[in-house]
Amino acid sequence: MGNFASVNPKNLFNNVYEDYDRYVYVPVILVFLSVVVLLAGYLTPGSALNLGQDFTGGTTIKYQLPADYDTNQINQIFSSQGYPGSNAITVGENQSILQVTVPPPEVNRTEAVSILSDNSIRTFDVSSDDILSRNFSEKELGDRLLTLAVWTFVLAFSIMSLVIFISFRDLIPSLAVIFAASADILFAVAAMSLLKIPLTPGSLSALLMLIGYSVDTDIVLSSRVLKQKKGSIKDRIWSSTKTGVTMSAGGIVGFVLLYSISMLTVGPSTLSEVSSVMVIGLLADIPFTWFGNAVILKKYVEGDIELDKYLKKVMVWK
Amino acid sequence: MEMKKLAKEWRIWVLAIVLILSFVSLSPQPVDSDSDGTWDTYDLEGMNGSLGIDFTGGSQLILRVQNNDSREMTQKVAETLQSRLDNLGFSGASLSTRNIGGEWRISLTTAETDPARVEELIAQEGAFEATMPFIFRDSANFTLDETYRLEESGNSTISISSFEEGDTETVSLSPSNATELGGTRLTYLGDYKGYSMVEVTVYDNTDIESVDTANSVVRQTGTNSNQAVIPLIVSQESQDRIKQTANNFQVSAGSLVMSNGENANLTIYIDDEKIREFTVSSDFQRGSISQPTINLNGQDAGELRQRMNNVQGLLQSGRLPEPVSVVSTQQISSSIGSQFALASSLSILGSLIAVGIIIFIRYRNPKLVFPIVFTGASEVFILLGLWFTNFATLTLSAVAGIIAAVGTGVDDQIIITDESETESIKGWKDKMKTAFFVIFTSAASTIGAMTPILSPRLSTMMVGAAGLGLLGYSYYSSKAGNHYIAVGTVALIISAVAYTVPLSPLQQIQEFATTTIVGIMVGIAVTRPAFAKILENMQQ
Repeated sequence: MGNFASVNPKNLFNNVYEDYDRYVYVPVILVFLSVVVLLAGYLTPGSALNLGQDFTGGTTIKYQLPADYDTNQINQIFSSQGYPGSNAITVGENQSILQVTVPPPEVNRTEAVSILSDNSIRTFDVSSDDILSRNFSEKELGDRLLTLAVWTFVLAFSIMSLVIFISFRDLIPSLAVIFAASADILFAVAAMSLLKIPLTPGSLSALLMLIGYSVDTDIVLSSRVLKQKKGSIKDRIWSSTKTGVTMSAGGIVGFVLLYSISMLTVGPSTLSEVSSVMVIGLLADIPFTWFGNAVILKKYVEGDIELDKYLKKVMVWK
Repeated sequence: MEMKKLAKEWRIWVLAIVLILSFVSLSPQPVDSDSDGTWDTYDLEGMNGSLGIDFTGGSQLILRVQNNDSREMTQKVAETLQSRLDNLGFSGASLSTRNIGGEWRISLTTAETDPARVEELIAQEGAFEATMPFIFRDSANFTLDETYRLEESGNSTISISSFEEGDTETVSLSPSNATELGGTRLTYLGDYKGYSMVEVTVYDNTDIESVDTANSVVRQTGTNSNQAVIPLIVSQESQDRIKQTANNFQVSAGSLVMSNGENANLTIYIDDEKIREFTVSSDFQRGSISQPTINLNGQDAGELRQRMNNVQGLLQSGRLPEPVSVVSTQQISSSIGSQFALASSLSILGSLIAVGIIIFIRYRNPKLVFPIVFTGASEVFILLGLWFTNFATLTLSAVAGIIAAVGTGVDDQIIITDESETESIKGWKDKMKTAFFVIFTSAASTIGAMTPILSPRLSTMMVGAAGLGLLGYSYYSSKAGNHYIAVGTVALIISAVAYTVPLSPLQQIQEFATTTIVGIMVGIAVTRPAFAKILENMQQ
């Protein structure tokens, strides 16, 4: 207990700053790991980024059914009735609800009953009244929404980058902010893939929200380091770290609360998807901003990076 | 802190007025629930109008018009369905046409938690038809606006000739084919007991001018038997038509009969389902009947009333110009809805408290906790107030937007506080200049990131315009570095490619984007300036 109190944040920062340049490896390693996770997910079947039903199409059926079955058996039954690839789980109090997610084509209400009540593996005594809900979406609609989601994201990211560039005018500081934000999103998406959080309209809004939150801390850092004339670079970075980490802490605590409360009251839902993605993103934002963006800015202000010279060499026409 | 000085500040007054307005909007509205002209109860029901189905429970369906999903046809079908659901008393059913990635679809939201019922209603085309059969052997005359000659022409086909002004026009029909004779539809059904049978359509949807709902009743006709009566008001044209048609039949015992002596029954179909069949009185040959009725028989009065309402709704809204298919359904049970409401309010409250704790840990100054938490709470309050003025529907995604907006709000207050504490010779105004540079840049980037959800087209243009601007600036200004060209070119390419993709607003998270944008704007215009003033007063 006493140990925690004796850690002086200022001293910690002083120690880190001694060797600050080397800390840039932290974000680099995180980005590398995210890419590995995403690539591995892409190459191994069944572990890629999980798309929600809004984007894949398919049917989700909730049955009121006493839990005396094996969910694998339910999947076998669906498969034997011509609906392979289903995912059965039990939810609700006393696990009394069977939820089956089936890829397209659509399972209509009558089929939803007959699959369980009339098959050669095990027949259940279910009727139409036992279907609590049936949500479905056509594959064609899902594909269309996915294209929209991707483009919405691309445009959102482009506008954010342009705003940053127009505010700061300089290439390196702008690129540093954009690097920190994109690394943050990349990390969040990799975490979603790893933790099996599906991409739904809800988690998509969280990713878009992350763009805003992630650049907030970067803008604090950049404007203090670049625009403040007083104090050493170290002091400016330290003062912005204090501000930025307080900001992130507020967000993290808020979204942890949202996650726990929604999990306790409703169970997995849009709210838990949004909040878990936000918590992951806000946590990752700390190293990306204070080890990534900050180190790049420090080198830039100290005059160690001169990208403009390289650009001049590439653009021979100018 | 000098309260007097603070009270003179207009920024504080703006915040106070906006808060009072939100309070008025959020307080339970008096509702005249029994329509007797007096406000009798403070009813929370009035507020439910702006609560989305995420909280109240309900269903959302996306429909596609079959055969022709052009914008005009989709709009037309949506209007017909809206009128049908309104007539059937579906609470809060709202339909709108949406462009989803370049295709027009209908989005239907209703408080009905069982989409199966809605699906059933919209699957019905609502095609109403009343027909009379006419039979003949070898040949017969049939008189409507003029006299037509019907003839059996072998191979189970018939020919129908008209002799208008000396020109003879003949059409040939095989079984179940139809033709129009002077605006009246005639369908050849095929062989009937050695005769050829045709069917004359005497009414269809276009003939119904209105459904007399005021005089529609369910009455008891015996023990365990009830009858529903729905009077229709039909067009003059169809009154003439039924009179003309009736005159082609013989009369036996006061009723119209076919040439084999069987009754020429009038049969009513809705979507090819036989609803009612009855004998036609010979009165039809003389007078015109302007108010035919549809009678439905059944045992259970309640069930019959339900059926009567359905038929009324179908007839009032008219036939769907094209059938629709359901491409997506989402249903939210009302119990999950109220859990969402609980979780949302608890989390918003919880996060405000959490923010207070973080502020205390960071600044060790309880005096700072209050203004920051108060400003955050004001923003929640103002946003909720806005939503309850029917500005939009409060959905789960709007709540996510409120949380996002308040989060950035708290971030901004931390920035203002930290900036105000920097030790420098700079005056208060200069300190705030730096703080507000950060605030405006972050607001612009967040609002910018939300715009594509609401309008990807506008966003594409913004990116393109910014690209062009950067290229133009680098051409005319010597101050602009080479990177202006690079960034401008990238922006132009992205905008050009995006332009080729059919893009549309992402409906599912539109409320999220709207709330975030409105929240950030309220923050910049109202709460942030007020907070800066309060802080200035505290530090003096």
